[in-house]
Amino acid sequence: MARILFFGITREITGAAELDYHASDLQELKEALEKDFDRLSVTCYRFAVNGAIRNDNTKLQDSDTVALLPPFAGG
Amino acid sequence: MKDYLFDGPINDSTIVSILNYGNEDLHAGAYSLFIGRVRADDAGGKSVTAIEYSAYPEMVASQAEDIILSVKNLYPDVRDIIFLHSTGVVKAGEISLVIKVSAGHRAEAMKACSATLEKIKEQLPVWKKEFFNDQSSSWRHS
Repeated sequence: MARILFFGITREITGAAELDYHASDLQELKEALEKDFDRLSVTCYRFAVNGAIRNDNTKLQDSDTVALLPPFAGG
Repeated sequence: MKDYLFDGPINDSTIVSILNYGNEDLHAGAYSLFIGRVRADDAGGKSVTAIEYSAYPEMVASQAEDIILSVKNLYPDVRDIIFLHSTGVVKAGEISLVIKVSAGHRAEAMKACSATLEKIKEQLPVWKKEFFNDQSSSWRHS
């Protein structure tokens, strides 16, 4: 099970700071998350895998930490 | 200084510490200091009273190092860059971000300070939720 971290509005939508999911890649994870939390499907976010932003369909291992990152708003 | 996040509003003594950090570098002829405050923005008849900042701390460290390295590469006269960004609740008028750039000369210090701010906005995994004087709140992007 990969560890999934939620930040910003995605944390508010899921009601959790982190959850465990089993998924073979980011696309499968995205589909599973948006099935469980339908507001995510209309929310803008990117994935980071082990702290690095991934725009492709990265394969996932159970040891991975995946973060959902809404648009940054620092400063 | 390897801390990039600060719990709550950034206080005067911390700003003084930032200002004094690196004073032993006698080749730094200029400091450029940016201090960002929470602004009481008006939005549809209501105004911002506070912002709650949240962050992904493990990623902040790596992104901050990338930001600093890329600005130093853009402005080779830069000697050092440090910054602190608040997490948690910061009220309107309080300080949420401090950037200090030291450089050999003022022009590079000021340009690099501005570039650091822009990169923080683009690359630092920080989010903010605005709270208004009618008790409502909303996530802000940008």
